[in-house]
Amino acid sequence: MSRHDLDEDTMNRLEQLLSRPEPPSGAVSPHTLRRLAAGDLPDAEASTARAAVGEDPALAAQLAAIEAEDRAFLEARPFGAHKDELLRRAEAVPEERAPRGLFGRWLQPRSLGWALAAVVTALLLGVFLPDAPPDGVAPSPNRLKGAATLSAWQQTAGDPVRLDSGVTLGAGDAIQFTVTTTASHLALLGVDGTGTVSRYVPVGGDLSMPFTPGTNRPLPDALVLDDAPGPEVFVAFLSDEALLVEDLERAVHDALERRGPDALAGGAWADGLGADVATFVAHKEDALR
Amino acid sequence: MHRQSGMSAPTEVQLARLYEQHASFVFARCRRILRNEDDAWDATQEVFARAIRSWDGFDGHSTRGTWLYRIATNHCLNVIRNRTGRRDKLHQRKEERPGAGTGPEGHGRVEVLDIVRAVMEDMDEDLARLAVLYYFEDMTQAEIAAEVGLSVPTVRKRLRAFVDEARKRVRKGFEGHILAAMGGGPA
Repeated sequence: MSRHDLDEDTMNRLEQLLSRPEPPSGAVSPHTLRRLAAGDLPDAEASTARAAVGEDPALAAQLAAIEAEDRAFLEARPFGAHKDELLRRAEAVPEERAPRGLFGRWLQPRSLGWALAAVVTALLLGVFLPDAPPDGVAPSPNRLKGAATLSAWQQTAGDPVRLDSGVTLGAGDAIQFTVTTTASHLALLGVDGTGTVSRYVPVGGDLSMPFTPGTNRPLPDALVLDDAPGPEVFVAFLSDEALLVEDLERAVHDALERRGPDALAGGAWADGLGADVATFVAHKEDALR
Repeated sequence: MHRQSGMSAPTEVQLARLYEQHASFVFARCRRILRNEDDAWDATQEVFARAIRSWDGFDGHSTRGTWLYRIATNHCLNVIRNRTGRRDKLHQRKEERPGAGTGPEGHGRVEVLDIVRAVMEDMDEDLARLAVLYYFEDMTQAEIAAEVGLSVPTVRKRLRAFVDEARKRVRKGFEGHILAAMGGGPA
């Protein structure tokens, strides 16, 4: 077989795989059968799957094969024979390497390179709000679209003080954002006085970050303002599913181009994103001089 | 960055139940991704070790099994990425995989999966994760969406992006790897 034939043949098979069709809606997939065998399907789904298996000998055969494989595995590798090894390995897993969910890596500080490369404001710090701000605080006014609110806090000698949107801050001031939301994913962008859009959350990756819903939940890191021209508009996107950050950045760019920077203070530009949007505006001392 | 401390661990009964319910599934997934029994068993133990370590990181938004399968996928992706020498590895897989070359259908299936694996090794991790679930696990887009917490349209969009990137890489730069995966032809 010549190299040309080999490549063409391989490419054809690869195309077949890459273009594989989705099974018909309602079909019981191999994954569903595996979960059924493992007892991992919720009751309703398990009932539906069992009914389908009962009507289709081919599915029944597949399920039987999976169950036989499961039994063989446990006979060859029983829990009792490996329990100690699992516990030993668990002790050896460094805490920072412990998985924190599918997108957990984005909760880790990636590097300062990102922050320094951004024109805007942030160095990542683990600073002053180790937990949520004091209970009982009033809802933030910084709500644009939907139920989410974005609040900013500044450390003082005593308790953290909540800042009003529109506050004037100086280079080097550190602020900690908190979010009140029922949504489970967060992205935070910033737009400075030159129209430069910067990404603060997620630090890495291209999807919005999983976020625990609640009242005044702190973001993973505080931000330190630099001397980039103000005002800086921080825009938080809260959604029930992860969103592509590039889509959010594009929406912000479009809003800036079509409506101007003041439009970010309204919520109409964010229609159709599938996210609640909240903003916070910080003016810069330098810009006022 | 603040880290959670005082994490709790499962009881022996909980761990035994988790293992007996899901270890075979985890092993099968690892074997499909890694293509090697020993690596798959090592990965399975590592997955359970990590599950023990992060036991209270389970948020209840999915089943315990789905949570465990996600850990398995992520770990196996890391294993693939940590392997060195793509060409050597592809030769090694050719030698190790059971039944290689024993039949036209299985032979072709293995080969193209090797190519997909080679293509995705240095690709965006999130794209690679979806590709693993779609092409190695034969999961539907809806199942993938449920497992990774995305919408079906987003999964579809991301898989299209993977396919586009895979086609581009294969046509432009992976001929040598394809040949190595096939175990024949001039390098």
